[in-house]
Amino acid sequence: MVLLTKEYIQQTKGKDMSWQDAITLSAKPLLAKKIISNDYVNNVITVCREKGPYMNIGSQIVLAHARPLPSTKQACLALLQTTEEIFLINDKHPARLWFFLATPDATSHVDILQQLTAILIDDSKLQQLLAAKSVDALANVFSGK
Amino acid sequence: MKFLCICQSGLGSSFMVQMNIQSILKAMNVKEEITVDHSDVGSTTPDLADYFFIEKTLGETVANLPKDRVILLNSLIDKNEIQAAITKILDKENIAHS
Repeated sequence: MVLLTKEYIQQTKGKDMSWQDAITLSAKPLLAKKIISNDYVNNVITVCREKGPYMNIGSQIVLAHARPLPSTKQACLALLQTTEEIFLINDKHPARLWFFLATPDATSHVDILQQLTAILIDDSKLQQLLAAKSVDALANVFSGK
Repeated sequence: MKFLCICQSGLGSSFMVQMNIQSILKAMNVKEEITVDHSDVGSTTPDLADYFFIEKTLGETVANLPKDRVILLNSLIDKNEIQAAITKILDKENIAHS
C-alpha cells in the first residue's frame, strides 16, 4: 500500500505561517474526510506548546501527533511541504516537512510508522521530499516513481 | 540487555527510534539478544531498561533516570547518530558487532 497519495499531500509557500498554522493546515485533508476530529488537532497543538519542540524529529521534519482519540476513525497520515522554513516553537527548530499522524489506538499506526521511518532514514528520499516543487513530485517519492 | 525508547506519547517518535535501532542492530550483526521497546515519559522508571533513548529536548523530563544510561538524540532518523550511540554502548558492554 502506498503510504501517502496526492489527496493527503499539500504544498504551500509558508510565508508568515506559524507552526500552529502549519500543523492545522497539514491536518486539513484528514479533517475534510472526517477521519479525525478538531479535538485531535487541538490536542497535538497543545502537546507541542506544553512539551516543546520534540516533534521536530530530524532536520526539517516535524511529526505532529498526540495520544490516540476515539474520534479518530483509522490510522492515517498527511503531509504538508512548505517552501519556506517555519519554526516549531523556537528558531532552533526550522521545518519544511510537516507530517501529521493520527491513530485510534496504540497499534493501528504501526505499518504507517514503519513505512514512514524507512523513507525518512533514506537520505536520498528525504532530499527528494525537500526538493519537490509540486504535490505530484512529493507523491512520486511515496509511490516509488 | 534492554533498550527503551521514550517520547511524550509513547506511540509516535519513540516507536520510530525503536524501529531504527532494531534495523541498525541487525545491520551491525549483533547476535546478543537485545530487546528494544518504546514507552512514554510518564511511565518510565530506571528499572525498566539498561539504556534509554530520548529526543534531546525531552531530556529534562527524564531526570529520574541515571544520566549514564540515557542517550539524548538530536535526530530520531539520523542513522549515523543512532549507530554511533549504539556502538558506544556495545563496546562498553563488550557485545560483539561488525
